Amino acid sequence: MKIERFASRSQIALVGTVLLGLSSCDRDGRDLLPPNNEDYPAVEEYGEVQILTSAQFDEFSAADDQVAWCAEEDDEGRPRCLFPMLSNPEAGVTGGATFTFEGTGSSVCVLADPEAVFWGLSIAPSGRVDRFSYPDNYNDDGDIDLFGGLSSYYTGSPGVELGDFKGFYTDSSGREIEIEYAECTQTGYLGQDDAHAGRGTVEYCDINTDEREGVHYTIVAQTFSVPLDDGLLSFGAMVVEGRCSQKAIDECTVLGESLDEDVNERSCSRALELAHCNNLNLEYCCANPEMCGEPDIDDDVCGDFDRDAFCGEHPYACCGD
Amino acid sequence: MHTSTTYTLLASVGLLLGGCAYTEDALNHFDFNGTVRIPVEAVQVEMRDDDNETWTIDDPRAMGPIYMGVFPSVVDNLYDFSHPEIGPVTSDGQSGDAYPLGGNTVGRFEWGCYQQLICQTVTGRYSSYDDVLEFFRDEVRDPILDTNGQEVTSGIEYQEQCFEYKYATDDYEIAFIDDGQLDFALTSDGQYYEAETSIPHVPFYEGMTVWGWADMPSEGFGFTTCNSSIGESVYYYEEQYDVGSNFSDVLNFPGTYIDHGDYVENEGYVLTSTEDEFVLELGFRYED
Repeated sequence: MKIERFASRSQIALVGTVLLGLSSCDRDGRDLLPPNNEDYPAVEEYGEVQILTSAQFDEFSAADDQVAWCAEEDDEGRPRCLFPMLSNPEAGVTGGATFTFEGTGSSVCVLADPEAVFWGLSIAPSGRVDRFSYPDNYNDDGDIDLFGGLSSYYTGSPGVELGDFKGFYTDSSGREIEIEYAECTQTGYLGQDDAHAGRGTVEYCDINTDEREGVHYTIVAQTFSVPLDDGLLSFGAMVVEGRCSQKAIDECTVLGESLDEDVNERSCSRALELAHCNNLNLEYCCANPEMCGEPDIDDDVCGDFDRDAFCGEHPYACCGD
Repeated sequence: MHTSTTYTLLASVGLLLGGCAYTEDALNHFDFNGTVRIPVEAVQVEMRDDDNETWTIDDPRAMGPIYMGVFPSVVDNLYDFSHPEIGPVTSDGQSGDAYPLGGNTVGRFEWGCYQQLICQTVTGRYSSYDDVLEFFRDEVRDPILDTNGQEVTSGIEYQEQCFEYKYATDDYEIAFIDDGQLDFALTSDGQYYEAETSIPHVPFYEGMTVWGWADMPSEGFGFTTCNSSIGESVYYYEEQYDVGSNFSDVLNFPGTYIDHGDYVENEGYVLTSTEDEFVLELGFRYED
């Protein structure tokens, strides 16, 4: 009798374990993989771009339609700047865009800003950063990494396959030594070399073209992550005369980089960036909750937020009115 | 059945023993032992103070670190002294990288426990705290001062300062004090200071060359290979500073760091076998 009862319990435990095991398989993580967008390439070459003067850079920053402003070409058919759109690449393929510019003989600043705006949710039980207490909508964010150097050192096939700027030197012992010829280097917060900005964040680097006037440089904007919502990564990219440190570059330098499939600026994305630059992330999300993530249902971060009052004071941060 | 079990057992034991047959000799990396010599006249260092008064230190304690590297080859057409071959120049204003295969030093910068000794004290040069005090007072003519500006005259006080600032409890933790054998000893003929040394874990390519130089102090007792802005940091009440250390790329760009008064190996020692014991003679004084 005891043995039968034991067997019965074992069977129940076994069935329970199996059920638990099956229920744990109800998600496979595929929702975290962006779809491929067949209407757009994963690897694309955009040709040569102009080098913007400081005055043009200011003009770009103030333009209502930055995409159209950038598309203006000079006599040689070079656009002022670019708003590339890239599909999520197939597995095993490195995606990205390449473009070139001519050296001016002095320093230039290369920058790229991927869609849209990202912040980490502040969940500290005490000392919470209120600005980031409303979750970001991470589904609309992408990440692009900048590399650049002399075109003669570039190993990729523009528009076909991305490459790098590595070369090899053979010493007298016969050792083959890899040499990095990339010149678009960025330094991290802790001083580390070869850093890149993160999701949705503008990144930029200086390239000194001293004594290389007229020499071609290649910029590689390598896809790091593609937005989950449409499998399409859009970003703004340009080359500006002078060093980056001489310019005010932030999330609001490029405002129109969040584009839909029809190359139209996404509704309310400009307001999101403006709100971010004005430290109004929380208020923006409370005013436009459809543009942000899903807050914890128990966490009433908006409290008695007065949308009308906020939008009256900050009309640039409100949409749908 | 018994037989097949026995065979299986024997085969397993054989495989296990086979697995133990691996030794690190299979790697193409070797430790090279050797000797570094520097002529006695090298330690005669010209000094000059703020009042333009000059004098000469004649003391092996004045030697900075001796840097030794193993390089593909050494050439004589890059600088006014022999220098390892270099790779392509990739940055304006910077030499090509010498791509050393390995390296070591005889003596290294080790902070001497007082702020004024940042980048001034080297391991293997001093036998006691009093030895350091005496050298800086009588030879460098820059007595060691405590945080109140008072001259430190007692080895006991110096030891206490080191224990306090380096969180040490015994002299063996104070690397620049060596009551055993110092790095260099005078040769029997009195012509050289000589040190036994080694360069560990170097990949072997026949014909590769051991080369090096001695970083000798400037007239103000400074060393070009030391960077006073790096190393460990001191945070002690109102004192906040870095204690300094050598630049990390001294063997990659030796020509950048060799300056007036340094002693350089002329030709380098060519290694033809993994058993070779190198001899470096730092006989060329570079005059800027």
